[in-house]
Amino acid sequence: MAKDDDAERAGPAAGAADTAAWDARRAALDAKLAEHRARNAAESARERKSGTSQGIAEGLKLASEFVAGIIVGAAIGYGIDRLAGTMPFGLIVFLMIGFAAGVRNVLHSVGPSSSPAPKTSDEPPGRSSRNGES
Amino acid sequence: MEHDPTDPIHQFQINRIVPIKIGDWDFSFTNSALFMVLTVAITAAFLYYTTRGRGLVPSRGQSITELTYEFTANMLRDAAGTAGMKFFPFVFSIFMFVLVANLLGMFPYFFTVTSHLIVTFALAMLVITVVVVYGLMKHGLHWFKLFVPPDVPALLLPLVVLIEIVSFVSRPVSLSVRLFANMLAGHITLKVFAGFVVSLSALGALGILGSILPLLMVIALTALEFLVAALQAYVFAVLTCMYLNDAIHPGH
Repeated sequence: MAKDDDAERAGPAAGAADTAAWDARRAALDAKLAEHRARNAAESARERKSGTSQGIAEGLKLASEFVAGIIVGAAIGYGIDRLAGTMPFGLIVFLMIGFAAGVRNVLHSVGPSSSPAPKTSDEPPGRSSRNGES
Repeated sequence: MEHDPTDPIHQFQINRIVPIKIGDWDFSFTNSALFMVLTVAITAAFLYYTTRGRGLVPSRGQSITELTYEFTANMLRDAAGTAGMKFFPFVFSIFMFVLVANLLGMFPYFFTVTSHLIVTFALAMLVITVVVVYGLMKHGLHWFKLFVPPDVPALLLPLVVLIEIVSFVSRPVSLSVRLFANMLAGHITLKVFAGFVVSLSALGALGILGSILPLLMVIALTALEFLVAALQAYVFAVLTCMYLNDAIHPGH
């Protein structure tokens, strides 16, 4: 309460000077905070990269994703063949589909950014073609 | 057949402790069932006793429980958003069950529940059933849009949908096979190297000297197995969260 009264009595000129000072201080703090954040992010990224055991775990994960797709495809194909009596053909077709599903599993689990970008048409043609290659 | 003490597969054998037969079905209480009960009992007892005091400044046990809670809650919130928090009891139960079962298996002479495919497959099917049932309940038939990715040419659509369906069906397989294979392979490797120590040291002085190398290997592998036990429980829980996300937000 008392503080509010003081500020009102000091008048508009002093108030403007105060805001400017506060703004400068806030900008300085923001800059410092951004610097800190960048450093923290870099550090955590470096830590994440150095884990060998995490690499092994990631590799096993991707391998099992891929194999599971093929196993399920083969199982579905074999089941259809057994039911319909079309022995090799269902197995052949569904093995291929299972292979595709395995590849899709791996691509999907590597990250959502690796799925084919739907917005390539918005970008200039030169850039989008480079994206397609990488 | 005579039981060889260094047989690496023997640890996975199922023994009937209390034989129960109902009709033609075998409902025997086995060592696997015993360790499942033990896992649940230890988890429940630990969580109950550490949270009984509920101090404002947590004790050691209470901190462990609180850290596990926050860890799981953050994992679920990151993967499935705040709407996923209603599945917290489910995810937490699965995470704790797999973690404690894996760690219990690290005791010598203990049975590792998660080294049997049928157990991990049952867990994975539970997850997928919850995903499918909740997805259909929440979104009705719109949930099947999950299998139709956006921006696909109409000509390719049947093929892509087929691939997406096979990919979805392969999820419980990869989820269960990963956990099972990691635990099985780890425990067999451990047992094989420990068996080297036993059979080499039976050869006399030179053999005892030579058995130091596999012994060092066993020590290193034990540390690795503890890591794998925790990591696989984490991976199982994270993937559960991601699949639940598909049930809650099938659009993306």
